[in-house]
Amino acid sequence: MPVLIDALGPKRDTWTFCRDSEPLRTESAQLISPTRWREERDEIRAANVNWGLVLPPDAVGEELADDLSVFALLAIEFPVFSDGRGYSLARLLRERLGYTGRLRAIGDLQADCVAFMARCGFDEFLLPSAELLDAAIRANRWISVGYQSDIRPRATVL
Amino acid sequence: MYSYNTVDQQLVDERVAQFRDQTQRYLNGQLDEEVYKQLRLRNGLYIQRHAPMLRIAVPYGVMTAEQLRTVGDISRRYDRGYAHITTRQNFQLNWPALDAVPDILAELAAVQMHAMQTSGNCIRNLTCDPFAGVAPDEIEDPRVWCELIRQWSTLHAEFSFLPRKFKIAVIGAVIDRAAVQVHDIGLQVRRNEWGESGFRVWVGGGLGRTPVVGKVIREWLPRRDLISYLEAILRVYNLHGRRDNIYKARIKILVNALGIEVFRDQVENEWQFLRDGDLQLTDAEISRIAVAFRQHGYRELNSAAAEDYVATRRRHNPLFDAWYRQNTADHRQPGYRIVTVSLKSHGQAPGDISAAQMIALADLADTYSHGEVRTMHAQNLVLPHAETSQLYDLWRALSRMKLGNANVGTVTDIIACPGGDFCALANATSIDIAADIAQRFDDLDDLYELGEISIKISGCMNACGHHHIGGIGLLGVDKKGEQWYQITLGGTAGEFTAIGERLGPAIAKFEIGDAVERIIDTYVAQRDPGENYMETLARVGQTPFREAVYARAH
Repeated sequence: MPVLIDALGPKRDTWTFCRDSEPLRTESAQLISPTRWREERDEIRAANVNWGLVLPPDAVGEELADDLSVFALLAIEFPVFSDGRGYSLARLLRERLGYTGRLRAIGDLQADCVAFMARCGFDEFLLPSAELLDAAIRANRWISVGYQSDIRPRATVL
Repeated sequence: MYSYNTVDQQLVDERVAQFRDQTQRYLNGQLDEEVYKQLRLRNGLYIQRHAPMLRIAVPYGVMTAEQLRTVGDISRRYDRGYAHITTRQNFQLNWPALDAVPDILAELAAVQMHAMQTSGNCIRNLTCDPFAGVAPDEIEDPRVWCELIRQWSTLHAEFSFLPRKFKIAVIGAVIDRAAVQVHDIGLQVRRNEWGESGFRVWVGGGLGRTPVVGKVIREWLPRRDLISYLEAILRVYNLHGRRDNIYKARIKILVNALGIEVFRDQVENEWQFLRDGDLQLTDAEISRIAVAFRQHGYRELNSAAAEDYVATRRRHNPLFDAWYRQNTADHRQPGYRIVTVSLKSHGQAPGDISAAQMIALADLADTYSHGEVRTMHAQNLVLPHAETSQLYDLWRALSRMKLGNANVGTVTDIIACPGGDFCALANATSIDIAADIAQRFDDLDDLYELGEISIKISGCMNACGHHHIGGIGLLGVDKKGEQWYQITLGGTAGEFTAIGERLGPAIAKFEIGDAVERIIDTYVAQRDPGENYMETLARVGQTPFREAVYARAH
């Protein structure tokens, strides 16, 4: 069972993914795909709903520049943990485009990647299984110093 | 030399604790093989043909005597009593037990050493001129920039999972003793007309399956922009480098696919956002690092007296004379010379050094070289601060340790990867080929007659032996399950950079020693007076060599 975790520890995932084939609902906390966003942009923007967007690792951040305020959550996919594009995408969204909503890492997350992800601006992590939970929390604690200027200060659990 | 501050030390100590935990989880079955593999690679730990192999970082090739002594001691207690110098200036231990590696790393951390990022798809060890700081042709010490880049690249979160490995080299002199043009990023320190420091930047060079000389992405990069510019290059690579095929994943593939102009535009566009940010190097930060590399302790020496003394010794001792000529080089400081310690001797694989030799050499470094040693991509070691007047005593001490072989730059100063004897990737062995060739040139007089010839041997297309930039390059190939070798001629990095050209069909293992000998004989037969091997090859072309190698006896 996947487990969602953030700086304060495990948390309930209040977001659901609305598949492209399903009709958009009127409640908040729906994640949609980029295709959905492109095709129904006006309707989505007009709705008074907290939207979330799933981003593949090759998403071009700049294309979202004008629309970031629509999204309360961006979920960047890591198809395999060794695909490091999501780290750059996260930094661009945060530092270049000024995104201040929640940033979630999803996909093939490994416990030992979480620390690096947090440093790139991710707030929350959908771990593929609860077995990774302990290791993920501990993994973040090992290295307390760094040479680069991280974009977030160290949080409590993560 | 740079010495750790509390942050540097804490980082390596914490890293050891982290890896110890990861290894424990792996051994307890809590960590998947594939996941642990990526973690251990980023701590230099391979699983090789016979045993785990640990690659210890020697940042830009600089070590203290104490560090060398520690590696020697570790090799004795945890390994089989020797270590290997790689073509990227690192050390390798070939036989550590996997569960002992955290302990080894802890002992290394105690002397400011580590194995971080010596493998894996991340930014690897910086390499540099082994004569940095002491070469007479040096414009500016490249080690300052190496240390700054090292810090920027170590555990850089965004670049922790690149498409492929990333190698950066820096040179600060006219002659490129670090082969910067065959690196993913090559940097040459320059001065502009106002005497300000900056860099020429190459990108997309590399060896391996598709050797290519790098393209200049920037002729002039002001020094304060070094880190922000590197960040821009790495970000473009991280986002757009291929991830579908590991043999097409290096930055050189991306640069070739886009063309240098388009690639440059992408980097420069990204850089516009970064150049004025907190990656801009301040004078204070540069100074903090630069101060560490200022050489103190040079004595005002009476060079004339030392020269006389050495000249006398050379007249009376032909072996010392040969060693002085081959293994020592001019130094920027009067009264000093740069000493190269040859690790190419009969009975030892190229670049191997025993525990006893390491420990004894560490003592010599303390006595004769201000406690400093350098590793070379040519798989030798350097004592960078030897006083001319002490060279004779130093040579005698080195000779006693079998470290005095006067063959630097000669045909027996062979670069070879560990090859099929050790490496799971290899198609063929390299160490025995090197030994065979070296044996044929046993006679020292003949050896010097041949002048400078560089033979480089790789056991497979990954080209860890850098055969592409060998004057004579040998590449191990698998032909119907047997070990054969491709020959390339004319590769070089130094005054200029060139990839060697294939001579002809592969040669079977039992014939390769003869083939190399025939190449050398051809050079001797073809050369004009005073011409070295590369000059003769350039003048006469490959044809005479090809004919000699592939001639059939009638």
